[in-house]
Amino acid sequence: MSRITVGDAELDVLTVGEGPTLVFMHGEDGLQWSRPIVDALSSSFRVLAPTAPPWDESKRPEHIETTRDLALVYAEFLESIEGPVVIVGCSFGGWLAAELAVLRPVNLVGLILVAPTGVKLSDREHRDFVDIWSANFEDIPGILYSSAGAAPDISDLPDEEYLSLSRAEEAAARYCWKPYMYDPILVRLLRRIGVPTLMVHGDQDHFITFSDYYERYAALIGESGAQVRVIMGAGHRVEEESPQELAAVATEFAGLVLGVSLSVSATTWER
Amino acid sequence: MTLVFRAYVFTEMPYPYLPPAEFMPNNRISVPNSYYDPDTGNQLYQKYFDIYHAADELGLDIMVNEHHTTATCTNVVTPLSMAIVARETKRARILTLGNPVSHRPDPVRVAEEMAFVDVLSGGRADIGLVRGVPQEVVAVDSTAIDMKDRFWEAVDLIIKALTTHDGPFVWEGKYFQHRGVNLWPRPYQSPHPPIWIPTTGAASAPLLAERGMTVATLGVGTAGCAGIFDAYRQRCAEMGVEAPLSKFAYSPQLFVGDTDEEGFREAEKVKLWYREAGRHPFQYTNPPGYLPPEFRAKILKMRAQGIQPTAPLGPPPAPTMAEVVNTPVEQLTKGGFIFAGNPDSVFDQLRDFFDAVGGFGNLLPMMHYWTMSYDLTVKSMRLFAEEVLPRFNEEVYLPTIRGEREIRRATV
Repeated sequence: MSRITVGDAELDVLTVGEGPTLVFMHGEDGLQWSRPIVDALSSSFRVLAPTAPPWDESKRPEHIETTRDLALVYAEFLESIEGPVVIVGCSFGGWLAAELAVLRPVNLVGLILVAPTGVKLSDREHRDFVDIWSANFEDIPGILYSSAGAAPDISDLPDEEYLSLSRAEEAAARYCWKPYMYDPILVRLLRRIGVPTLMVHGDQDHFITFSDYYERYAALIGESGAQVRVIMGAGHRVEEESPQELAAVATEFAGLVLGVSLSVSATTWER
Repeated sequence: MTLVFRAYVFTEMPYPYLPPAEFMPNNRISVPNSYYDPDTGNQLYQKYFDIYHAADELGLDIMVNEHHTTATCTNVVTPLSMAIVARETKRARILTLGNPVSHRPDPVRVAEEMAFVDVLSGGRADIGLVRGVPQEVVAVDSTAIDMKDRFWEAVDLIIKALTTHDGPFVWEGKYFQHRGVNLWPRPYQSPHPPIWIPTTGAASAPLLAERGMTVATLGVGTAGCAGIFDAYRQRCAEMGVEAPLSKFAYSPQLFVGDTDEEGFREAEKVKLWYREAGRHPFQYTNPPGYLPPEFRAKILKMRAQGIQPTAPLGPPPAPTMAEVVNTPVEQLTKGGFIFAGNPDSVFDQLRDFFDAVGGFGNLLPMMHYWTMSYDLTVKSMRLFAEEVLPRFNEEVYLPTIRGEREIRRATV
C-alpha cells in the first residue's frame, strides 16, 4: 500500500500484479472484502486499487463532498498513470467510475461497471435501492448478498476491522445518503462515456428494487449502450461472491479493448 | 430577569393511544398515522396547552421540545407552540429545547421565529439550539454527516442575525448562504435572548462556556450532571470569567404528591418515558456520522455478536434506559434521575442535587407523560410551585447566590 498525493487529496493505493493497468474501485465496504477479486485480476493486470477518501484514514479535502467531486480526484489520479487504463468499479465504485468516465480521461480505454449505483431510474415515489440505513441489522446481509449465508461472517473480526467497516459506512453515507445512492445529473451524462463499457451484475441482486435496473442503466451509456453480462447465483456484491467468474469476464473484456490476449491463471482460479 | 431559581415544566405532548409494545414494538418514524385519531389529538393539544397555562398561573416557567414522526412527542415545531404559549401566558419564561438547527435548511428562519416569539411574549423567550437526537436524522431525512460543523455554523448565523441592527448582512458560509440577512422583528431582549444548548457529555461543555451559553443536560443523573457542570466551570475559571448559576440547567422527571407513597406511585407514570422513548428499531439511533467511528465500531461488534447495545444514561454506575424501566422510582431519586415524593422529600432531593452538582439555576422538570391526567399533573405542579420552589429559593438558592450559604459538594 502506498500513499499518493493527488492535488490536495491523498489516495492509499494497493498495487498488485504485473501487466496492463487496471484500476479497481471498491464499493461501500472499501477494500475490506475485496482482496480475492484484486488477487484474481492481478494474474493478468497490474491492479491499482485506491482507497477513496475518507474510507480508511485517507485524507479528504473539505471540498470533496459529492461523488462527482471525488471523480475529479480520480481523473487527476488517472493522469498520473502512464499508458492505457481499464477500470473495474463495484457498486459505489461503479458509480464513481461512471462519473469519472463521463469526464473522458484521455487514457481510459475500457470500463467495467459491476452492479453500479449512481443513477435514478424509477419515479419520484419509488427508490431504486433498498434503504440499508433503515433496514434491520439482521436483514442487511440478505439484501447485499444472494443470501444471508453468502455474506462474510463478521461476528469475530479484529477490532481494527470493525473500525474500518465503521469508517467505511460513514464514508459511504457521505456520498450516498441523500439523494440515496444516486447523482440526479449522472443519468443525463452517461451518453458522454466514450469507451467500451461492460455492465456486470448478479441474477440474485436483492439491493435493486426492480429487476432490469442494470439493463436500463447500461442502455444509457455512450452512443449505443453498454454490453451486459449476468453472473448467475451472485447477489449485489458480485466481486465478493463470484470473484473468479468476475475476473474472467473482466479479463476477457479488457483483453478485447486493449487488443491483447489475457487470461486469468489457473492457480488464481483455484485459490 | 429576576435572579431566582427557575423551574421550566414541560410535557412532550405524547400521543399515548398506541397498541402495546408486544403488538407494536415501534412507536416512531415508520408508524402509519392511521393510528392517530385527530379528535383525540385535538383534545390532547387542548390539555397540553391547559397544563402550560396552569404552569404560568402557578408561577412556573415553561419548556417545549419537538420531535418528528414520533408518537411520543406530537409537539412538532416548537416555534408554533412557543407562539401559542407566548400569547396565552402572562409571566412565564418560555424555553424551547430546542430548535434542531442541524436539520433546519435556513437558520435565518429560526432566528426570525425566535425574534417573533420574543417580541410577542415581551422578552420571555429562551432559545435552545440543539443538534437533535439521532432518530431525528432519519425522521426529518437530514444527514448526520458533518452535523456538528453544520450546527455550529447555524448557531453563529442565528446569533449574528439576532444581534445585527444595521443589516442586511451577507452570509456565505460552508453550509449556509444568504444574500441579505435582516431580521424583522428584531428580538425584544438585548443583546439577544439567552441561548441554551443541551449536552449529555462533558466534552462539549467547555465550548459552551467559551460562548457564554446556558448549558443544559437531561436525564444523566447526579454524577453525569456534575461532570458536565464541572467541565463548564473549569473552562470559565481558565478564561477568568464568572459562571453564574443561571447558566446551568438540569432536566429530571418530577412528581410531587401529598405523601411519598403518592409521589413514588404517580412518578411511575412520568417514568414511562424511559419505556416509550426507546421503543423503536435500533438503526434509527445510529445513523452513520452521528457517533464517532470508534464508538460505532464497538456498536457494530456488539450487533455482529448478537448483543443489543444500550448506552448508560450517565457515567458508571448509571443505569441504561432499559434498566430504568424496571428500577423503582424511589431508587432513581437517589441517582438524580427522578425527583419524587412529598414536598419535603422533593425539597431534600433538589437541595442535595443542587449541592452535589455545584449548584445550578434552572430545573427543567418533565411533569407530565403518557396518559397522566390534567388534574394530577396540575396537582403535582401546584405542590411544587407552592411548597417546594419558594422554600428552595428562600433556604438554598438565594442565600447561595448572595454568598450566605456554602455549596456542600461532599454529598456527591
